[in-house]
Amino acid sequence: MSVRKMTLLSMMLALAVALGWVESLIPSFWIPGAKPGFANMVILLCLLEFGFLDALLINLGRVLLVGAVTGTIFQMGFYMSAAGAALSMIVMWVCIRFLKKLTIYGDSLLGALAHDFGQLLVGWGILGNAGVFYYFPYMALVSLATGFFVAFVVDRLERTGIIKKALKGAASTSS
Amino acid sequence: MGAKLDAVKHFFKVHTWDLVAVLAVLVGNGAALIYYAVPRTTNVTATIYKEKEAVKVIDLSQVTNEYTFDIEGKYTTMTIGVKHNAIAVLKSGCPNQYCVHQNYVSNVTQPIICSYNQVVISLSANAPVTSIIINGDASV
Amino acid sequence: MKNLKRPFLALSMVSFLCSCGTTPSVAVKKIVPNVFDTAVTIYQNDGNTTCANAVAVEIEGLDNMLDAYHTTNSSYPNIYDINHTNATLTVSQNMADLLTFMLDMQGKTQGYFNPLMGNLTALWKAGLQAEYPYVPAQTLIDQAVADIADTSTNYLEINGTSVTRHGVCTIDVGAVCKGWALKSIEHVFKDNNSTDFIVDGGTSSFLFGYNKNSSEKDGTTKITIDGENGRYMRLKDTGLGTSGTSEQNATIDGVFYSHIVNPFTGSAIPKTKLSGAVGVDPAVCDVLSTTFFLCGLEKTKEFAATFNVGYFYDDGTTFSSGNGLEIYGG
Repeated sequence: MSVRKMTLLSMMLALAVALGWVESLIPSFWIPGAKPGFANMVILLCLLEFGFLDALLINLGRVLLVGAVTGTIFQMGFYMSAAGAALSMIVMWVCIRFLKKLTIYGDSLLGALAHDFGQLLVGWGILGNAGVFYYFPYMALVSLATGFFVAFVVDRLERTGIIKKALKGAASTSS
Repeated sequence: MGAKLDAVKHFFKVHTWDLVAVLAVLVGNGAALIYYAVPRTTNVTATIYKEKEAVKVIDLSQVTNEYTFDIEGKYTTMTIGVKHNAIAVLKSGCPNQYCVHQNYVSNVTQPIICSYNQVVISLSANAPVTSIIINGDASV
Repeated sequence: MKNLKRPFLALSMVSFLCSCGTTPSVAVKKIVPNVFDTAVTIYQNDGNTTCANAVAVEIEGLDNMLDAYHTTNSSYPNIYDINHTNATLTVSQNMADLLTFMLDMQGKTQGYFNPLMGNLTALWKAGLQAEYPYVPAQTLIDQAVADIADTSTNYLEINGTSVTRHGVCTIDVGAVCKGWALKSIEHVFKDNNSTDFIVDGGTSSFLFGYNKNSSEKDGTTKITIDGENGRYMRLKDTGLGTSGTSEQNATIDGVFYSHIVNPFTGSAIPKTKLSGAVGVDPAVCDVLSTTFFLCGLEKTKEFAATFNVGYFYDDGTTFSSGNGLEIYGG
């Protein structure tokens, strides 16, 4: 991995952590787990530009660091976030890689839904009650909006080609 | 006008599957919300679970006077309110207060969950009775 | 559009299924408290709330009719009213039918069931349910027994819906009220096309419908009559009356007294632990369960054959059953 790429990834991680922390300050309006998903912008961008493994590293780092920063690490909320983040990333990668007919908006929406589902799955496991899925329709409707917002921002960033330009700069100096 | 129509057509062509996904979410979850909205409030029994174990069962259909009681959640005390066919978490020490904001619930599809305290209040409709026990064991 | 239909439906279903909780059952349980000195519980397994509520209303009306402690709040006299006058009263048809039935059963049970033993049962009730239970004075018991036996002075005269209570003996409906109430409400289930129900009249009188959730898939409800020995029976579309010593009893100076009093001797010391009758008519079963309790096993068999009811009888040592009633376990 080139130094430039490593630097870029580190910046992405820092950005994801910062966005994750900001997100934790926003109340979820009585729907448990309903958040704007700012950090998912970074993950989606990483999936598009760097691939699955790099995005996985960023995601893992983000979850751990946000947990540490907000003081919720290894509590129930942490496990729910981690599961949501993992499932969301996997679903988005599958959509990007195999479901070519979906645009970035569809990828983001399904990723958001998967995030909700992952959180509820862990909730079910910890609480032992399938009643947690009662919240899914409400979370899913919020995910429609947040998924669109995330996709919109990432789409705009993609059009500027900022990551490609930064990496190209790495390629031209790494020979 | 023609250009606008072409733009709309292009939009739908590019985002067909995205719109399918959005519509599916709206229809599926809309149906779920309608399902929740249908009242199922007669003859309800509430079971209170703490860390997966049932700690109290209350036949809400037989409650005539409102009352409250406290239970110890994993981290804080919770005050539960009970009235005819309805139950609520009135007070909790959890940080998010989702459980408190749900207020009284009486629909069997709607649980009250305090994930912080790992307490779940689950409602179920009374099941059909298939057996009866008659007491008859005093001395002769 | 064709190639979009499947994924759209699949996604919608997934979305919907993720949100579904458990499918609720439909049973209705309604308790009617403070009736017939106990509570009646209606298990409306088919979820017919309208029927359960209608049954509850009728039960409350019947409780008022059969109330021996308070005057009525309806237009017809109740048991209390009849017991507090020797005047001729015009009663409701249901009351007239009940009193006629009671007199009929008195004859057919050779006096083991006696409608006019209210004074005797009241004496024992006052003693056994006192804060410090006591045995009533023997002279009072003897007087009450003598009054009951003096049928020329103490009797009920019924002409249509006109009722006259002659003498000092008062009517006691304790051995028949719950069964009669169950018999009276049967029509409510028919009117509401309801067949899947159980009515529990204070755990001593029952009415069973056809139980669609029966574990044996034959419409029967399992009734455990002796948990200690694992004895049970399975009943459907029938009535059940039981009498036992588990409630309303007292031990005074080492002697056990039950609430079921012998009209011939005035004694409340039971020789039976549990008895019961199973048959189509819950009122008959209620009366017979008390009769069996008092008359012993041999007469129980005789009466069971006469009335065509199944019986069970436990004297504390031996458990017997017969006349078509199958008891499992034990």
